[in-house]
Amino acid sequence: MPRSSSHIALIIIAGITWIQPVNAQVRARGRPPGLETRQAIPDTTLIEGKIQYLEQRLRQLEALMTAQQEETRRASLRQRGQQQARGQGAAGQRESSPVRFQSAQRQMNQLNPEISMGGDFMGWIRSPETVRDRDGTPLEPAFAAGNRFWFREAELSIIAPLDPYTRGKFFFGIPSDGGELAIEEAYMQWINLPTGLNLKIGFFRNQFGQLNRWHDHALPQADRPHVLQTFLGGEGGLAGLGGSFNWTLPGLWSHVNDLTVEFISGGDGISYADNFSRNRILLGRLKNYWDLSANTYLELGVSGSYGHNDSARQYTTRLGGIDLNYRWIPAGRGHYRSLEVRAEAIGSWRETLAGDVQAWGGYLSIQNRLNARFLTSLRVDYTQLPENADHDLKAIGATLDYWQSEFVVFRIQIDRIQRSFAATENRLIFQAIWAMGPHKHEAY
Amino acid sequence: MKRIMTGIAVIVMAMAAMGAGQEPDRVKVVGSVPDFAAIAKEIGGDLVEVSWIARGNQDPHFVLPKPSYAQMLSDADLFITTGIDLEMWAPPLIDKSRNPNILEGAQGYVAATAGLDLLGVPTHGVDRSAGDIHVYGNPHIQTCPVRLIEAANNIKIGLQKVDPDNEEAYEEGYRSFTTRMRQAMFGEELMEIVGGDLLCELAIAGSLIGFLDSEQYNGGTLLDLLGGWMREAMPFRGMKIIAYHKNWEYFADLFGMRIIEFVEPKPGIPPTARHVKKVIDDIERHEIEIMLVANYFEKNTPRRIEERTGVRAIFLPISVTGEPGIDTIFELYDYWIETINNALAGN
Repeated sequence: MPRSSSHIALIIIAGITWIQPVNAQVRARGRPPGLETRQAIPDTTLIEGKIQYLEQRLRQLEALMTAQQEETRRASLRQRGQQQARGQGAAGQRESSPVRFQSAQRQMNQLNPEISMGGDFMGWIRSPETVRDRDGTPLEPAFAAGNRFWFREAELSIIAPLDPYTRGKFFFGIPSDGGELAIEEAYMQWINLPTGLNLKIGFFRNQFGQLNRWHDHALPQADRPHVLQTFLGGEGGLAGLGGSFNWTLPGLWSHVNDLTVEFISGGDGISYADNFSRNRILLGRLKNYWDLSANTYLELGVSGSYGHNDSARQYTTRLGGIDLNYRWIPAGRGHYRSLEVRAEAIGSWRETLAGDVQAWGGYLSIQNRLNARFLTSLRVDYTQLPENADHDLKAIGATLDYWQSEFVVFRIQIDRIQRSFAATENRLIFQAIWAMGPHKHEAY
Repeated sequence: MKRIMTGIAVIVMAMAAMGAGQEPDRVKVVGSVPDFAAIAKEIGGDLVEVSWIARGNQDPHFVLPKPSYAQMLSDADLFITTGIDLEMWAPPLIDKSRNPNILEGAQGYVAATAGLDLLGVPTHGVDRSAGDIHVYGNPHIQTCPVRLIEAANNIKIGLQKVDPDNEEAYEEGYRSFTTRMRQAMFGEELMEIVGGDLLCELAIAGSLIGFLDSEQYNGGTLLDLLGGWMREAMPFRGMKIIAYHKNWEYFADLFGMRIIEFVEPKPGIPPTARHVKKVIDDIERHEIEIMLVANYFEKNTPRRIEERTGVRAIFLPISVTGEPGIDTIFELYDYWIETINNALAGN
């Protein structure tokens, strides 16, 4: 409709709408409105009033009409926008081939557990090539002697939730030197039982100190600290079948207090007989954690364990340990700089046929991240032998790590190990560690 | 007996008086990153008390799951995370917190990226040859204001689940946040005409500017009415840029920039000399002016490239609180766009 004719139509409509209420009032009162005022108010004023009213109505109707037109315009605009955003004739709407319904019922592999595989390859040059005691007897089995390459372990890990309450974890180790596939750890875990209990049952490495729980490939140096090898066993460490009860306590004297009590059948073959069926060990650890600043924390732990050191269960061993971990990680630069100081000390009270033996040992390790790829570390060890405190071992070693990525790491380590009961040993170790799959080492 | 009764009455009255002065319990919200906590605060206002784990200037890929974080989560009513493979440190923390309310699937757990249209979702099999790849797509959604609005809906749902008594207040808070975000993104007038939902949809589809430019309106085009961050970002629309990591992918996509190369040869892999050489060649070939770097990455390589080519390395906080004075999502985006424009202007 042309704009002028639409105006005329609006005026007529407005006139009618104005006249109608006036007529209604006349009918209601029996005489025309304003009759009594007609004498007081001139006609021109009435007409002006009517015109003003009509103009006002006209403006209102015009505004209404404009708004309607605008809304129509915007709706059209939005429709075009939607078409553009979603694309006309999108692939999902086209049907260029017959519909076939597929089944996912035989493709449930998304429920498979997380499976990861890791390799820990080493090589060393050492002097002397074979370490012997003062009587000339080699300290290690024949396969470990000499300058050589060594595939320390292939580790297979399988992890999955079992149900809404429980997690299951399996770690298998496959050593290259005459070893067989062995279970390193296999346990199920409830993570929030009443009283904040975290319960683990199965076969697992024990929470004695800090590094005993760690798998070899995750250690800060190529070898486990000597005090742990000496008192808690080498690769297998102190481990066993049983239950682990862990509580995070309300902050007592530190920011976080964490208590672990473990009861296992097992051992390490050194401080405790390695007899899964009979030997029982009670073990506990209290961890105290402080956030010193936004970038640093300190962790102090005390551990203790009690069990028999012979398969006849006649003689006992008590171990006590303290451990410390200080770490500085600047938040905005954590990928490039960090410093970690770690120390553990273990004391042993061991009953033997010949009498009680008291021995101790410890280590101090400092690891420094230089940038995204390079880390260095230095470790100093001292330990007596648990069976004979007159024999001791001193060692110092340094490492340089190159992180090709999070999943491939190369390490060079140089060591000097001085034993009171054998010749001094110097080693140069090369290590390559790689990981396939999603599993990463969990520090906590 | 009378004294005892009087004593009890006094104690009861004193306790009642103390209770009257106490503030109602607030919903304790923990964000894996500060941005999620900031959104929860925008939606929940005084009803919520927020904290976060990764700091604003910290790489959210690499956070040590410290016991104090587990302690923080043990008290949380709501834990907000991307829900995908950005915060791989979150599951051990959840386990260690012993808080059944924030377990995955529980009512106090929010996966902020749920239902979002993510970039970089692998279409074929994935493996580590592609670097530290994210198997569910690019998780750095905080560089996309539009996707963050969608994530806010997930956060609102989480708040309503843990605090149903205040459901309407969270709905209102969400509406207010969404409106303010869209106005800040596109300008009030355009939002009024076209509608916030559609503008967001067009922006995500990458067809916003083309559409606005093609639509005549009151003697001009709708593009003339574009305001907010989108208008302010027009000086760098269409520019070719370098980014350090894929966390700028959403930003570039939304604001029409084209990332020619990343300083990292593959995600999560530190730059090699050979790759840096390639980046330098690309900058020269494409006459690239700017390089976007999250401020938690090392600065040596970007500086070296800057010196060699004249490209401007712009170090930006990737999250709220990543630099002093950036305490809200709005301030974060204001800062990014202003800083990039200043760099382009040679300031």
